[in-house]
Amino acid sequence: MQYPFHFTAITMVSALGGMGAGALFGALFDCQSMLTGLINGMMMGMMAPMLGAIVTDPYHFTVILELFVFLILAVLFAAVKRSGG
Amino acid sequence: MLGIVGLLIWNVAAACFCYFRLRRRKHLFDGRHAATIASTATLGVTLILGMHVTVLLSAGLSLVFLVNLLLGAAVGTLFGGLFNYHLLLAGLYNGLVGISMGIMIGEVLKNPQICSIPISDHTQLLLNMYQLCGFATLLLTVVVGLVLNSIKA
Repeated sequence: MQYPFHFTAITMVSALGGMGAGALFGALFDCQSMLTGLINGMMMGMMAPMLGAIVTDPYHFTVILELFVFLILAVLFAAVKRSGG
Repeated sequence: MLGIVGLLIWNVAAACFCYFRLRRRKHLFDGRHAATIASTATLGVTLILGMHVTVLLSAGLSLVFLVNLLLGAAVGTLFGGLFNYHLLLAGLYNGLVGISMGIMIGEVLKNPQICSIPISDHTQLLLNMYQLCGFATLLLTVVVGLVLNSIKA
């Protein structure tokens, strides 16, 4: 974390961003998926700044995190393709 | 600290309101809707309650964990037990996960040094607590509103 004195603002922005992303992805389907996405995004958004604050070597960590994100996206697309979408 | 007690009371009132509203209409849902509502309400309520209770308790870490895990299990059992035994299991799991996350947030708010955040000024610490607790209360109010709105639709 580069700005340690703005911890509160960063947490708020991150939680709101998580809620927005979860609600957007959930709203693709129906109201109940939107609720699930919203609450999961909120929890992850509140936890992520803590992870960012505790990391001491941001470069390698970020690279591996990006790899995980792309792995998840690949599995998601494979699942969509297999189900005939 | 008095303001945080007020926020905690508001949150408990919102959770009770949500619980009794759901209990009055519990026969209206099918299985999937009930599962969504049980996990969402449990996760939100326990996350926010755990954060507030941890900020307010100044005891040792193990006592804080004990009290909070019991609270999370109770809330999860209440919300999941509205419907059936499968959802009681889901509610229990979600309650324990949510309250552990809440304990982490609360501990970091009480002592930012454990996340290597260099804030040691007492007033700034208190200001941080008030801002994040107020924000979390706002979020819980929004979530409870959405849950109650989704059973109406």
